[in-house]
Amino acid sequence: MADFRGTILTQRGRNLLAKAQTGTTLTFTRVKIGDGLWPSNTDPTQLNDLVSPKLNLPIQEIRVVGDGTVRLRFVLTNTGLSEGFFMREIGIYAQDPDIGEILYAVAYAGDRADFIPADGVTKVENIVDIYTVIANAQNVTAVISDTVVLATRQDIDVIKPEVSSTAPSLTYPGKLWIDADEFLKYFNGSVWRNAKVIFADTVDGFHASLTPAPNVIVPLNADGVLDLSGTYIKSNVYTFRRVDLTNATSDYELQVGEEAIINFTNAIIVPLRIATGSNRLYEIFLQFSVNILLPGVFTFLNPNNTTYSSSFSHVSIYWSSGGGSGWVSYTNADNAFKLYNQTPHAFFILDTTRRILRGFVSYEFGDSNIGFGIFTSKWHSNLVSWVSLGTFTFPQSMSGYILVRRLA
Amino acid sequence: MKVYAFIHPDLKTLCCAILREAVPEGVEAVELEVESPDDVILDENGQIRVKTEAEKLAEEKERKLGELKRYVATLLEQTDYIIVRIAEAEVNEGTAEAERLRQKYATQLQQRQAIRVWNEQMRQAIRNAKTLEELKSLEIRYG
Repeated sequence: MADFRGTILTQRGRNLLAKAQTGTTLTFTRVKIGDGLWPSNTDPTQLNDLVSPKLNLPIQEIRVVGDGTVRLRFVLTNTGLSEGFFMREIGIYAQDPDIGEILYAVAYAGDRADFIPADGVTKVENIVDIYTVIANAQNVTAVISDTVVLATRQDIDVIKPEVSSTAPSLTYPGKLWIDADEFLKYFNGSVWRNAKVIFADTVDGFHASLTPAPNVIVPLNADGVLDLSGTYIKSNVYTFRRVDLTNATSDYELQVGEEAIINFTNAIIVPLRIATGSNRLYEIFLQFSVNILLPGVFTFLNPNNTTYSSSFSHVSIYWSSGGGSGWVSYTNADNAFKLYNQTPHAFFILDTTRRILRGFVSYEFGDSNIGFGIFTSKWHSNLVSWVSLGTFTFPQSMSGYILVRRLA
Repeated sequence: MKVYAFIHPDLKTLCCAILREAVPEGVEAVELEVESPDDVILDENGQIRVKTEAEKLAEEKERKLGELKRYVATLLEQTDYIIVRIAEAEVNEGTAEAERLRQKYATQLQQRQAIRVWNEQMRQAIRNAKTLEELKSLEIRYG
């Protein structure tokens, strides 16, 4: 390393330092190095620039040492240097509020200089600290450049996260600390906060969220429930979701596995509002709040929300706890799919390919007489496309709900 | 309820749309107020109309008589084996054995007779009903 024998304040530097004693901010702007050979009669205090400047070097760090001096740190690098030179002189520059940038102080190594090679095979990257006088100046700053930064071992020790059970005493905004519970915290300038790591909630790149959405992992909620009310789980073959089609105004196409619920109150007509087609299989559960009390009358499902004269066959049979059994109804000339009568519910499978439904009910008749019945009904015409699953019609005003799940 | 009755252009049969939008495009439909879509008929004059009360009454009587017939059959079939046993005894073992069986099953035979009497009374009541309300009030339930 070149042997510089301390820095000398220039006259302009002294003038600026005098101003700094009265409150003017002392701002260091840069460092220059050069290969100038000083004649023996050179008075460095009278210099306004280096004799032969070669490189401009930005200041990386400034630290007031406390004994009337300041340490300026800069990075000496030969990056981009086309021609090597001997580093004989160093100039420290500062901003004078009255006359602009001045040479504040200089240092000279003379024949004890180091050679700085041109950029090429030999790479030079050195951290150089140079001290100069600031006396009692209160406001000392520097134009800090972050274009070239080399860290010392001490720098790294300072910024390295601390692992300790108590908060570090050295704090600055961004300081990291790993506490006794191995949580990573950072100092935000006033307090320690838990650090948040982006993408920490991902598995194979998929985020976790309580709001279901495509490409999102949905956890159980606070009640331990997988709440999918707002959306659904869907695979290539099955959709797990209930949709509420109560008061729907247009037909909805259920996916395989998807279930619709339709609530009704004091209604005699309940459109399902479900679009359909061939090759579909549905499981349908109809629940009334009370029995249909009228004897000999039936609930119908009208495909395409329409009756078709004499186009449906029906048969239904009952078995009762009193020992009786027999026909309930049989015909080949109904106008719609006929279900059962005098029952609070019906469960059936509806096949749109074969246009047939098959179901069963149980009933209560009187205080003790119960029984169950089976029924089947077939649309024995296929001249009309089946595009809307249909509308239920009841023989009297009823309340309840209907569940429709598409199975295939 | 309202229905929209029309002749289906492909099927050439009577249809009733429960929802107005279910009427095929370009097809003229008749809007009717009915208790059930089954109340709409295409009469012999090719006119779409609601069944008259008399037509509904006659249809309901037929349905009710059929229901009665099926119900009575289920009541009687529970003791049909007794009739078969008596008939077989008459043929194979003589009148005395048949008479013995009649005595043995006297209670069941009286019940069967009572069912037949009740059946005849119900048939008359159905045939004599003047209104649908009167007809619907006739509950087919024995005992």
